[in-house]
Amino acid sequence: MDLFLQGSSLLFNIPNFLYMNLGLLLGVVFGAIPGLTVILCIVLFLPFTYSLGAIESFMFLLGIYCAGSYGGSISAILIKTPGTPHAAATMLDGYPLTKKGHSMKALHVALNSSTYGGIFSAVVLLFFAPQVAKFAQMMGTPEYFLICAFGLTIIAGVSGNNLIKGIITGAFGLFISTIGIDAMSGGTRFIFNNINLYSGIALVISLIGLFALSEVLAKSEKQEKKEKVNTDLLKKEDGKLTKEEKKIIKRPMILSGMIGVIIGIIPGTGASMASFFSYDRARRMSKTPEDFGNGSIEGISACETANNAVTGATLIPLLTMGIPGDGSVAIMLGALMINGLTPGPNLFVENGPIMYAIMIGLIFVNLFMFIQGKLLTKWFAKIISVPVALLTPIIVMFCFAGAFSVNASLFDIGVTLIFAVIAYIVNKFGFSTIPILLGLVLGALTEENFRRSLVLSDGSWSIFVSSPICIVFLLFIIITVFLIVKSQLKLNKKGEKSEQN
Amino acid sequence: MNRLMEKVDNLIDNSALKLEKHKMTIPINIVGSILFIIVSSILLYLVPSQIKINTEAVVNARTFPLLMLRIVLIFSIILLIKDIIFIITKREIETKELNLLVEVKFLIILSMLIIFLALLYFTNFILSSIVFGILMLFYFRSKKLSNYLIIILAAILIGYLFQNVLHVRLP
Repeated sequence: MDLFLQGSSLLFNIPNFLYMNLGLLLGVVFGAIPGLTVILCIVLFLPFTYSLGAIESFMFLLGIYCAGSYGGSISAILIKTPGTPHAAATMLDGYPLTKKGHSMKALHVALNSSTYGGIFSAVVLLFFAPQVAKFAQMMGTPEYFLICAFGLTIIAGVSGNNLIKGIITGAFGLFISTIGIDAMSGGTRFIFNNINLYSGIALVISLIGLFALSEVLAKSEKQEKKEKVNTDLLKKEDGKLTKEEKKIIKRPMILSGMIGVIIGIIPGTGASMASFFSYDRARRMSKTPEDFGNGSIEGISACETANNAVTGATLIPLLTMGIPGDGSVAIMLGALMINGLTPGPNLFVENGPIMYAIMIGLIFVNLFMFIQGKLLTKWFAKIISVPVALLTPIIVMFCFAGAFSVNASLFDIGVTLIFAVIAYIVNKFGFSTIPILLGLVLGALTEENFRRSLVLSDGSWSIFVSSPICIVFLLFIIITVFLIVKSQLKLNKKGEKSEQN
Repeated sequence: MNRLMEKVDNLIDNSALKLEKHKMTIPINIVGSILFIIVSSILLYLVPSQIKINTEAVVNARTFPLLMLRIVLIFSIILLIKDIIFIITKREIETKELNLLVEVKFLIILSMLIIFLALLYFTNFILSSIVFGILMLFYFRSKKLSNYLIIILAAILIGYLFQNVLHVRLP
């Protein structure tokens, strides 16, 4: 209770709420515009958090993360183009409602459901995270190394369509994280006598290259033609839900909230899985399943509740053990580190009040998302049509200014360009860049715990099976690998069968 | 002026059509794995010269990067062998069609980014951004004057935001 009160007093400051609302605004805009992503938004604005405190930074980034989830539904509903991948399920019923002239109703259902999902998961986070953290505190260096390995295995397995490719890029990311001065011995590694590489490659610089500039380079491939939003339709209706409609969406909301939280806690699963799974469940339980796909408000409600319920749940493994559930959260992990907070089991012991402030703050993030959504939906709808020709150079300007701001060095901008080219090439060959990101974020932590463990055991690898927790995590890794390989084999077989047919 | 623009447009369209016809299908796992084998082998070769150690300890500064590079190398070889076996057993392998037009576009965008960086060495951020923004609008073949004005305004605003609000020194 003490920590709760201390956290509350840290949170209730005007700057925290200002940055929260700024993040929300940016998140909706980036989520709503097809071609822009939540990860891109977080990466672009990460340099802005340098001058902020830990709570302000996190409120700002959480605002982007949560609102991006809702923003994706706006374009899915209005122009049949999901702004984020997890809004794809929302499109199935959102766009048919727009065609029937009820776009405001669809947007309101999405907003209400997103808010409910977000608040539900924030409450679950508030009650569950401290309990998980207590368990996590029993871990030593070998256990913590295995947790990092577990997180990397999951992300490597689910980020692309091939586990081997994920392992290759994940290990490559871990290797890149070793460039610079070795914190344990003081020697240099792979700096090629370049003074700019002494302190290694800053996370933000690599992220801007991997996820922002690479998107610009990918514009050579994508030809996005956007539909225009019919704003007259938005003006005509108020979109208010009737009592009957509110009753109808209650059941899918409650169920999808729980589904979203359960799926969100499992690292690597993500919001897309939660929204499609919830959509399917809601259809099966509905009294009018025939409406699904033709503008069912139950369908929209199920997807939107689920994908926002994931947001708080993904923070449970992140804040308690340092395992990020997806790419966006992995970047937020980096933001924690920039603020001097080392992710892992000790985070709650060393920074309890800050953790509570963040968790309580998540509830307010969702409340303000609701208020902004209510007031600004019509304006948000208009920005979807902003042309790519205008957005692309503006993104690059932010990228270059952001990269330069880290060390006031033009060399860093060159490094971001190299990372962008790396991302373009590896994506071309079907490798995902998310494991590289995770390798970069978890690199220092993984190496430190790996080396400390081996020093403790005098070089013997048996230390990684020395405790029951180690064995449990090793089993988790083995089971995860088995499940991923099994599902990939199944997919391959399905593909071969459909080819034959 | 309009005629000249039309001529340029037609020239670009015709060249694009010609380039678009040049396509090539590549086995992505084979090419990708070979790429990582080359990169990891070079880096493994460079480890002794790039990571100097003065200790006999079993665990040292080389341990972790060496382990990671070996993982990259071993799994790349596994990926390569897997696809070679697939080819021998006549099973389907992952392929991707490369289009010359897309790659030329990629090179054009990359060149513009490099020009932007080069400009930063000689001029200030706002001026370089304006030049880059205008080049990008040319690339997207934007003919709206308002777009050019917006880009100039955006460059000035971003420069102002970083320098005066965030107090970040820009080039």
